[in-house]
Amino acid sequence: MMKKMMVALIVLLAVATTVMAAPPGQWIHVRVISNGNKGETVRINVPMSFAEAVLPTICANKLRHGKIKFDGKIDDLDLRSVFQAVRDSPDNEFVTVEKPDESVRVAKAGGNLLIKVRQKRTGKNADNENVDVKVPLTVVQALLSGNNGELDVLAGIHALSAHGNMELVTVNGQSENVRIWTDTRNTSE
Amino acid sequence: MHPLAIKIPAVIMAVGASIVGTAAIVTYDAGAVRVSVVEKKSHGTNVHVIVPAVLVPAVLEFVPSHNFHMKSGETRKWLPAVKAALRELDRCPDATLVQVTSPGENVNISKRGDSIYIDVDDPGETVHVSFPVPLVRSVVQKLEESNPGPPV
Repeated sequence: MMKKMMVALIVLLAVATTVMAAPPGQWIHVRVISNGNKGETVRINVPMSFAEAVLPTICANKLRHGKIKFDGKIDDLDLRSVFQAVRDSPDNEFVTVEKPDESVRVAKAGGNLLIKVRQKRTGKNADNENVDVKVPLTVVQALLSGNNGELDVLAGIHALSAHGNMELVTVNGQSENVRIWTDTRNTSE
Repeated sequence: MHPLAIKIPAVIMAVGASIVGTAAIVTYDAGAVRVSVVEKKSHGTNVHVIVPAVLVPAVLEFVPSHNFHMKSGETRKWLPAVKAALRELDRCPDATLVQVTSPGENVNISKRGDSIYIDVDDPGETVHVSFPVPLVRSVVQKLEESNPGPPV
């Protein structure tokens, strides 16, 4: 009896130690490469569990307990209503803006919200950027899950960590390339 | 020679050796704070400081608490965030957290084992700072004790 209890205790301790020592799963990576004279590269690697633990403790200005206060409406646009309409619609391109020097497309595809910006400015100092943003709809839903006038960043990160590897933002420009992505590796490539 | 004349020094030496050994193990286990600044100009200043981390909390006890008083509650409200960050850093696997590389300057912040390593290399100087994460926790605790206030 005593021996069995000891074995059970050792197994329990081993499992508890493994769980407690388990590395945080998802990492969020940011990489900024400047192509200018400085040629600077910035790489930031943060475990998502780090953001999840720290965010609720921050109470500064508009960010409190993982939630950012905002107006709720941007240029009289109710974000929640727009999101609900997008979520309930089949995959489609919802917004297309074509200008001589820029095109913007907002679409829903494969459970993701996709935003594409393409700049085609001409001229000596034209610094064109191609921007691609891909956010899972579950993350947008989580972001908008707080009270009116709040963006629940913490819930958004929780939702994001449930997704696998994701390419969130890429900005390819003449002066700068930015990439934000998530994966389970603790290093940038 | 009386047998006690041999035994007593032998016991004293054994006790002394075990105290030194234990202290060495505790010191090694707790890590150290390392600060190194090397100026690159000729005849530049080189500063190398290594302090066993185990000494720092003891030294903090002797520092008058008014030295830890923060002038505004603005700083105090960040302490919970720092504590949460330290807890997570403890759990976080070894990794390079921030890396900035440019032709003139390199900055590297990484976590290895229990310690945080900060390396800055610019045309003027090379700076290396490393410290064990648990040590920062004791500093934060001292800051909290010296700045009592409502929970933030």
